[in-house]
Amino acid sequence: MRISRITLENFRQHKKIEIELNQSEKSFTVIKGRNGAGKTNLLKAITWAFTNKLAKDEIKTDPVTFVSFSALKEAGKGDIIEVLVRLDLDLGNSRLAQLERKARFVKTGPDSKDVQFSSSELTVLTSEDKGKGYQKDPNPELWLEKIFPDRFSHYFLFDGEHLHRFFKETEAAFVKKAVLEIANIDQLEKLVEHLTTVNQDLIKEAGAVAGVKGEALRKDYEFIENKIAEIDSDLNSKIKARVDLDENLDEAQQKMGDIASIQKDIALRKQLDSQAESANKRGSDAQNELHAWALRIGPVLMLSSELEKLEAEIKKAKQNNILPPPYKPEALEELLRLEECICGRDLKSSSEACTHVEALLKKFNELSDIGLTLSDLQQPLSFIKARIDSSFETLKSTQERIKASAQEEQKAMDELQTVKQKLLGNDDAHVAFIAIKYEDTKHALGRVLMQIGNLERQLEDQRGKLGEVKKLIENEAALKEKSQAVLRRQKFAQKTLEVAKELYVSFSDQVRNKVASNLNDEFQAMIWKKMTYKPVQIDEDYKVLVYNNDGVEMRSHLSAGETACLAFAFSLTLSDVAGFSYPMVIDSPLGRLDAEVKEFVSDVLANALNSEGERDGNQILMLMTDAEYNPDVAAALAHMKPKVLEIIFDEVSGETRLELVK
Amino acid sequence: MRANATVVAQGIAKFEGDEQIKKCLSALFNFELANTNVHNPQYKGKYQEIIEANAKDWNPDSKGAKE
Repeated sequence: MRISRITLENFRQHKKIEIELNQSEKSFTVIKGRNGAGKTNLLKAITWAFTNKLAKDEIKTDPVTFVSFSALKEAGKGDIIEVLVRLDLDLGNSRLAQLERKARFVKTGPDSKDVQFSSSELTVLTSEDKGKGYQKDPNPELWLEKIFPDRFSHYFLFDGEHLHRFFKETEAAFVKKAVLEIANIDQLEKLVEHLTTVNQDLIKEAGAVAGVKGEALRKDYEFIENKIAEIDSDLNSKIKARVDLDENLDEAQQKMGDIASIQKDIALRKQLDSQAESANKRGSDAQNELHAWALRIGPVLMLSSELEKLEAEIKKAKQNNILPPPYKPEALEELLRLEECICGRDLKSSSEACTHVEALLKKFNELSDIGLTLSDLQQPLSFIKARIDSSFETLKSTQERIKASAQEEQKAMDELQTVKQKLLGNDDAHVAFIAIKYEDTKHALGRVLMQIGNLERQLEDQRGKLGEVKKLIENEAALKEKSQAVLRRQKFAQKTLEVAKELYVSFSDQVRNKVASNLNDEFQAMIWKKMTYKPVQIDEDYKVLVYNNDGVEMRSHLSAGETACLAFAFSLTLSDVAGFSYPMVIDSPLGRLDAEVKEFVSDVLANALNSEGERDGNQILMLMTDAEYNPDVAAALAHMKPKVLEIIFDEVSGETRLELVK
Repeated sequence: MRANATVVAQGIAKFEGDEQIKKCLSALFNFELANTNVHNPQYKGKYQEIIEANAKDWNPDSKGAKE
């Protein structure tokens, strides 16, 4: 990349200036000028255009140091002052670009210091072919970052006043940073760092979603499946049994016709049998009662007429008072004990009177017994008579009972006959067998239906459980699937990380070796004491080592000129490593060099354009003071045919102008 | 543009390993390049996205080397 033209408007001393740089193949331009003419601001303008950065952010914090003095003077309050830097770039292969950065300021008061930053803007126009106009890039910041990363700027756009510090700052860490940045290995390093973090995240994620319950759930599922198969099989056999029982029931029903009616008849027959039997028993009982009555009452009946006669006679005897009177034998017995009658007669034993009294007593006793008996007999006779009358009533009743029982039995027998007629052809035993079988079948069917119900409930229950386990398994499977996907990503990330690390090591070594080799070439091309130093090395810690032929490390002992050479060589080398040339803009490249080496360094710098690097174009712009660009230096540079311009600051107008130095 | 010219970009492009890993590395590297000046870029989501996209067609058993 080369800068072909620089346009500045309202940038510090530069009210409006256009600088055409050397267009030849080895683009070498020298802009010389007095101190304060605007050389350093030219470097600042280029740096700002490329990076949007200025020291201490001068644009916003101190616009006065950024905006053209004359523009500030001319502007009235409220006027907008636009600062512009435009770089026309040659990207090689007929590709052109125009980079334009603008910053706007508002004049807020009459004084030059009364100015405020308003806005800034970057525009990039590109042309893929020199002959075909420009197109505006939609994302100029990105375009610029690709073409010239701003972190590269300080390796190519630098103040020569700082050259003496270049390798002080460029101790190992600086060199390493520069090399890794320029080769984009730092990006690879970031990639490795980020990938390591993401890989760790993936490992954690895989761990978090790993389906550890899967195996247990699978076993549960299998167990429930087997259980369901078992219940299903049981259910099927029960359903089959039910079908068989239904068939048996149908068959029994067919055989029995209307089984209900037959059963009713059978029940009726049983009832009639029972009724007939009961009637028969009652008749039989009544007969037995009759016989018992007959046996009991028979003698009474036979004596009843005689008793009636006896009763009549007793009654008659009573009426006739022919029954002996009552007597008191105790009195006679007392007389006999006293052996003396009341009349005074001796009643001694064996006396006639005694014998007579004793006979009398005996007679009276006898008569009295009969009388008493007869008298006593009257009541029993009445009782017996009443009983006999009652017995006849009982007889009558019993006979009626016998008759009724016989009638009832007959009726039952008649009805039984009818039922038996109806049941004819249905052998009782057979019907009973079928009925029992039917009942058994019905009960069996009931049991089977109950079992089927139970099994169906169990089946439903198990299917519910299976559904739940299935859901869990699905969840688990989803987790497993997710886990597998994450694991896959993690493995992939791991592998990618390993490759990235390998590449990082490989590229780092490759670039370090390349930088060392190029640095040596560039350095050796610049220095005149070519035989003094061994090849420049960069060790693993990126420390630049310059050994003399005696093997003594000399880098810290290099002269200012040699250090400057090493610094320039390093910049050129970085450009080589970047694989893309950058314009090298150096302000006061010889400023701190001793007079005797200025000529030499300027020569080697100019010769750098001739180096055989991998750059696709070289450009050096040196901003020198008059003291730097002295006749000796000019003579030393003459063979490179530089385009030499002089910046002149007109104190009256406060503006700069350029003049070509012949 | 410039990225293609760097040692790393060229090295990745010339990498003769697993094609998916190469694509992934290239995408990650371009992401890093695009975010060079972004302080603390939110890289995790983008990395996951790139890894997922490339892991999808990845054959873990692939030896990777081109015949």
